[in-house]
Amino acid sequence: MLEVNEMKPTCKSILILGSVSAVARAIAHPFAQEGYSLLLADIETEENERIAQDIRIRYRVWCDTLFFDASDIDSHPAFLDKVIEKLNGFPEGLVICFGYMPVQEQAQKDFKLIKKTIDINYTGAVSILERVISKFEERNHGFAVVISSVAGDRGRKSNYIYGSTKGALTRYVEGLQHRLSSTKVQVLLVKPGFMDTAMTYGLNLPPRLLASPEEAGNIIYKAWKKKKQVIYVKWFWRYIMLIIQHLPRFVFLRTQL
Amino acid sequence: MLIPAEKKRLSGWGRYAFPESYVFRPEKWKTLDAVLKDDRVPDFLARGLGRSYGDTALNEGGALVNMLRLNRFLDWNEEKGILECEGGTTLKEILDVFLPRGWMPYVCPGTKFVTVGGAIANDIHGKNHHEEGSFGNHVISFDLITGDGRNVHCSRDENADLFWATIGGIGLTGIIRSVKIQLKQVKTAYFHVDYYQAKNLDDLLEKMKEYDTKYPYTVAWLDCLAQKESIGRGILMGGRIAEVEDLPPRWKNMPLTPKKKKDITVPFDAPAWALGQRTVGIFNSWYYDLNKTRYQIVPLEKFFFPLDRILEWNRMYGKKGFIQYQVVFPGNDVKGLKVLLEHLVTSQRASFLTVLKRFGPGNEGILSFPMQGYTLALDIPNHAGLTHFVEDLNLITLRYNGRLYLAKDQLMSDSMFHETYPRWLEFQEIKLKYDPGMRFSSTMARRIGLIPERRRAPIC
Repeated sequence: MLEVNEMKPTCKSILILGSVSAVARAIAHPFAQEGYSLLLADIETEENERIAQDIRIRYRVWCDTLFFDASDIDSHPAFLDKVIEKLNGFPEGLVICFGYMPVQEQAQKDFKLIKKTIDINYTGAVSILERVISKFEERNHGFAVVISSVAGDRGRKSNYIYGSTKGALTRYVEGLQHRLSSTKVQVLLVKPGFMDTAMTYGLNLPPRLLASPEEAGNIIYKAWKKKKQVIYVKWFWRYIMLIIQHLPRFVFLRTQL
Repeated sequence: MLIPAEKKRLSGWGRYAFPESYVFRPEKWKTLDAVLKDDRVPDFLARGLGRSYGDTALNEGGALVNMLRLNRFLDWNEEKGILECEGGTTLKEILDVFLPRGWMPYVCPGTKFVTVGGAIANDIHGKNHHEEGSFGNHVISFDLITGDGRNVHCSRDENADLFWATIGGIGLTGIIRSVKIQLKQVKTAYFHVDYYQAKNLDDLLEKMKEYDTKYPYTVAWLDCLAQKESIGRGILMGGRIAEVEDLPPRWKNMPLTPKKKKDITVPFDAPAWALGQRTVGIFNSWYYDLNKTRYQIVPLEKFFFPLDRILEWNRMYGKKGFIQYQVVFPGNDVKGLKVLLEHLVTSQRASFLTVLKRFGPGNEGILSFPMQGYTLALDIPNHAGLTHFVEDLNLITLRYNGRLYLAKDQLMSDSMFHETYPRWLEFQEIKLKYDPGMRFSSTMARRIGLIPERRRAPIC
C-alpha cells in the first residue's frame, strides 16, 4: 500500500470531472506537481482508479475517485454532497473535461444521439457549474476551468451538433465571467482546437494542427496560473477561428468546413 | 464496437523500410480488449517507442497496437522497490519519477526511450549484463493478453512456459498489459567512470577482463577504421554508481537530481556524406584521442544514454537509413570476434558506433539473445552493396557459432535463424498453445520463419 493513501486532502484541492480523458489526465499532472489534492470523477470507475493511482505514485499527493455521470443531472446534488464529504468541504477549483462528440452523420439521423450530446456537453456542465460557482462566489474564492471547443465558435455542417452544444457552453461561461467580474473567482474558458486524443484518433488530421494532451495540459495550466479568461490550444486557433467566424456568409456557405 | 485506427507507414529505428499497417492507440483497458476483438484485422502486434532497429516492431498488412497511452504506474512498494506499471510505460518515466527517490531500473540499454513492454519482448541488456543479466532477470511477473483473448498472469511459477516465451519473444505471445519489476536502489544519480585507451584489440580484451571483475558496468567503443597493428583500438569504460562521498561538493547536497541539459533534435535527413567514410574517420580519431586513460564522475544519464540528447539521431544516416548488426559469439573464444573485425576494417565500411561488450550467462528466455560470450554491435549505413556485405558478416557469424540480436536484425534469412536459435520450435509450440489462431504476428516473425505464413488476407 502507498503511504499517500493515508494522507488527508489539503485545502488546495481540485475536482476534475471527466477525469479519464487524456486531456484531463494531462491537466491533473501539473496540479499534482504543484501539490494539489485531486478528486477525480468519471463514469468509468476502474479506469479512473488507475489514473488516480498513477497520480498518487508519481506525485505523492492525496488523490481519490468518485463515480460521476454528467448526463444524469438528478444525481448531481447527491454527487456534490459526496465531494464535500471526501474533501471535507468544497474544492478550491473545478475542472470540467467531460464531453461527448457523436459522428455528425449518425446524429443527424438519430435524435437520441443529439439529446445525449446536449445532455452531457451543455446541461450536465451547467448543472454542475451553477451549483459550484455559487459557492465560490459566496466564498469569493475559487476557480473553474471549462473545456469548451473551437467547434462552438461557428456552426459548420461537418460538426454542428457537437459544435452547438459547445457554443452554448461558451456563451454560458462568458456569462459567468461577466457575473463574477467583481469577485476573485476565476473562470477559465478553454477552446481547444484539434487535440491528439481518442476523440480525434483515426480522423487523419494534419499533425501540425494537433496538440498532444501533455502540451494542452501545460498550456491550460499556465493560462490558469496567469489568471487568463479565455485560451485557445494551440494559440493559432484564435486566428483560424477569427477568420472562420468573419467569413462573409456567401463565402462560408460554399466551404466544406 | 469498432475502434478507429490510422493507416500508416512506419519503420524501425534504422528507417530501412516503411511498410503499411493499421495502427490502433487504445487509452483504456476496455478499448485495448475491444481492439483485439476486431475481426477485420488478420493479426496484431504491440508497438512501443519503435527503437528496435529492424522490422521487429512492424506488422505489414496487419495491425499495430501503439501502447504509449497505456503508461500508468499501478503500484509501488517503496520498501522493496517493486514497481507495477502498464506495458507502455517508458524507462524515461521510471527514471524521472524514481531516480530522485533513489531507485532505477536494473537494466538500462543505450536509450531511455523504450517501453517496459518492449524491454521484455526484446529482453534488452545493458552495460551491466556480466553482473546483473538482462531485463527479464528482474521481471517478477506480468499480465499478458493472449491470442485467445484471455488475460494470463505469468511468472517463474505461474505459466512459466509463457513467461519464458514472452521474455525475448518479440511480442508474438500477446500484449503485455501490466508488468511487475524489481528496481535497484542507488545512493546517487552519478557514475564513477574509468576510461582506458586501448591500443589494439588484444590490449582491450585483456583490460576488459580486469574491468569486468572490478566494475558492475563495462562497455567498449571501437574505432573500426583503425588498421594494421591498431586493429580494434578503442576506449574501454568501466563504471559503478558513485557514492555520495565521491561527488564534488556542489553535487553532494542533491546527489539524486543532476541538472538536465536541453535536448537537441536532428531537424532533417542528413546528406549521404554526413556519416561517410571520411567524417566517421575524423570523428573516430578525434574521439579516440580525446578519451585518454582517466576517471570521471558523470551524471548517470550521460553514462547510459549519450545519444538520447540528440533526438531523432537516426536521421543522421540520411534518407536511405541504416541497419544495425549485433552478434554474440559464445564462450571465451575471441576468434570469431577478431575475424569479423578484420573483415570490417578491410572492407572499410564505416560504422559510427561500434560497441563491444562481454556478456555474462544468459537467462531461460527461449529466444533471449544474450549468452556468455562477446557481443559486437555496429551500424551499417544503407549504401550500395549492403546485403552482400551483411552476407559476408553472416558467414563469419555462422562459422563461429554466433547469433544475431533480433531487436536489431533486418536481413537474416529463415535458415540462419533456425540454425542459430535452435529453440525456435519449442517457442512455436508454446505460441500455438496460447495463440492457435495466430492473432499475433510481425513482419520479422514471418521473414525469419518463426511462425507459419499468414493464412488470412492482409488488410492493406
